[in-house]
Amino acid sequence: MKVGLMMIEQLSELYGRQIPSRDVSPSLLNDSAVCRRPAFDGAYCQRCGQSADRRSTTLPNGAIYCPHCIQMGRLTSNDELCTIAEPNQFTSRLPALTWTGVLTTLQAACSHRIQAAFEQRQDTLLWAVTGAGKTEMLFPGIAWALEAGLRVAVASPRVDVCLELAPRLQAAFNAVDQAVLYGDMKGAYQYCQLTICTTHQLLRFYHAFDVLVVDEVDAFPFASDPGLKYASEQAKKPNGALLYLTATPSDWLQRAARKGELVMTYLPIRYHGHLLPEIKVVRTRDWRAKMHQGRLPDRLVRQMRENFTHRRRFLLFAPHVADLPALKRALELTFPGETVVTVHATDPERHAKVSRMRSRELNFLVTTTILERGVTFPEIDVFVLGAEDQVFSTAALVQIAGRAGRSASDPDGAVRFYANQLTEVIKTAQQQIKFVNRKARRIQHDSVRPM
Amino acid sequence: MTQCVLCERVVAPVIDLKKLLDFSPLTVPQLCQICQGRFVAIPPDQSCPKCGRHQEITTICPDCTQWGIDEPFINRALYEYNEAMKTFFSDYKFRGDFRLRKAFEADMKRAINVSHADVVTIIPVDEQTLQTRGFNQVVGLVGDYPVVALFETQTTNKGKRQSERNRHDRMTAPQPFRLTPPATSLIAGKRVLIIDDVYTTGRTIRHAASLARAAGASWVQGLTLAHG
Repeated sequence: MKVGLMMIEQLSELYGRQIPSRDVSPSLLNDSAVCRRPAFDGAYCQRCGQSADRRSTTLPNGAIYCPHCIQMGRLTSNDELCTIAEPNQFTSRLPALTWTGVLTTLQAACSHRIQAAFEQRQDTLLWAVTGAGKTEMLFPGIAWALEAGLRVAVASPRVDVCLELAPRLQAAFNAVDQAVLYGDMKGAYQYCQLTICTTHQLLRFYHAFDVLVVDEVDAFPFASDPGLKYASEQAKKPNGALLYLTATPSDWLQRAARKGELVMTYLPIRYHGHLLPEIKVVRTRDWRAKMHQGRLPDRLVRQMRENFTHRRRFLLFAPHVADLPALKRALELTFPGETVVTVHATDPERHAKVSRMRSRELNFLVTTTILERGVTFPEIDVFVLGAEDQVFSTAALVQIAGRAGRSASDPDGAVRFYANQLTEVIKTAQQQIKFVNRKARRIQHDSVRPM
Repeated sequence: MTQCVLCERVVAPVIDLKKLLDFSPLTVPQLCQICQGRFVAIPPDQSCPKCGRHQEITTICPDCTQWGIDEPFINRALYEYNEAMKTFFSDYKFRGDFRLRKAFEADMKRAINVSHADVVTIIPVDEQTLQTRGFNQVVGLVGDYPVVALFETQTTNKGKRQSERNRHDRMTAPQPFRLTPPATSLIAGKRVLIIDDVYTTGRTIRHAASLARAAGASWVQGLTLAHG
């Protein structure tokens, strides 16, 4: 059963939350501690902050409903949102942090700044490059908040990231009660000091968190859904601290930082201390038409041949699932001896294929954007065919480039974008990587200089 | 520019030479090709002649033989109740996204017109469901087509939702409807078409049909969006 469909029976389940009145048991509704406010202000949904179009969302009974956050249970203008002001009722046990790992000097410096931001209740943007080791840097700050008896949440737009994060946080703070919330979870909601959830679940919170960390703000669906940004601002207490984590800050985040609404913190160096591989763009001429005739751009063929001779493995990205069959055929015609394996998001053999690449059984893997995040293969190069395609956002391209050079044993990897045009999106991705590398060089330079 | 009702992709009307030369208004499909492709339409010549189930042959299906060959009820279903249809109903009915009612409006209207019925009616939902959902999902499906309320729900001790009951519970369920006061005068000697959203066991719609027949309708048929 889904979380949203369960009737709320206990007062503590309303601490810092906002639950439609029909999901709250009638005996609780009349409790004096429960604060109720209308779910709509005019056409504006008070849960996700977006406006409902009266023409299409008026129900026969005259009420309107919000189509934007309907996946969390429909909210109509007849509903009320119930909340109880967050009381921070935790029995904190000291010390909270049971993690015994060590941060690099740079990570430690960054984590001090994070903790300071939490203490001063500042909204912060941490721009940490792909492969920087973000999670561990959060630990000291979270430990401080937990020991101070504050309520903390770590949210990510992606369920798989939450599920990967939860055991790591549980291990790092094993004396602290932890709730993990996502759409298809089993079991009921529980009031806990530490919450790990998808950003959608933040729509159910109201002024709850003293410290709220939102990971991967550049990822789908957070980046394209203004309701989730609204939810994250509303889920924290008015005087709470909000920390956005990203490897590729979008325009609105950079603008907010420039305007001083957010404090920007950088971690431009990977945990192994090396710079990000930079993107080299190679121009192609109508690669797609060529590909359908079974041919590939000469420069790509030459590059791949070189990789095969040096036994250097690589990922080849293509824009669309629909491109994969023709690309596979063209590759098989060009390199008759090689095994060509393609993988995409709804591929039933997706996991098997990825693990064949990981076990070095394959020399390369052809894929769409699904492998842009979270997947780490050591010692690989990254090639993108058709980088000019609209399907690639700046964030996606930076993430794709970030697949190269992730291991300490091989911190450099080639990143080549084969594109018909040098688009603004590609240029911005190149600039972002150059920008953090410039910052990184300055730090490397400072650290070798005698103090 | 219109958007697909389900996935919000932009849908453009198909304009070919024939469309250009005849002066009928341009119709824009409500669903994009990708979404439409997920639904399986049931062709009338590949279905059970009694309940409208999608099958290769046109003999009466095993479920319908259980109802008895002489049982006069006939139903037509437009689509299979496949995964896509299940998702549609869970979004439309249970989640309550009223906008989705438009998805199959044109299909339903076309089927109503083909039936040449005198009176078109719908299966009612009980008061409590109407309160929480805010709309009758069957009325929504036919859009602005004028329907007559012939049936209303009787208060039975409805513990569970229809979709939560098993086949046996459903088959032995007592008559849930009664005729509305003006119904008898409206349907005596008329062709009556009863519309519902999904045909599952056929129990519900047959309860309604037997009331209509008892009130003197000359012809009673069912039309459902889905069968499964």
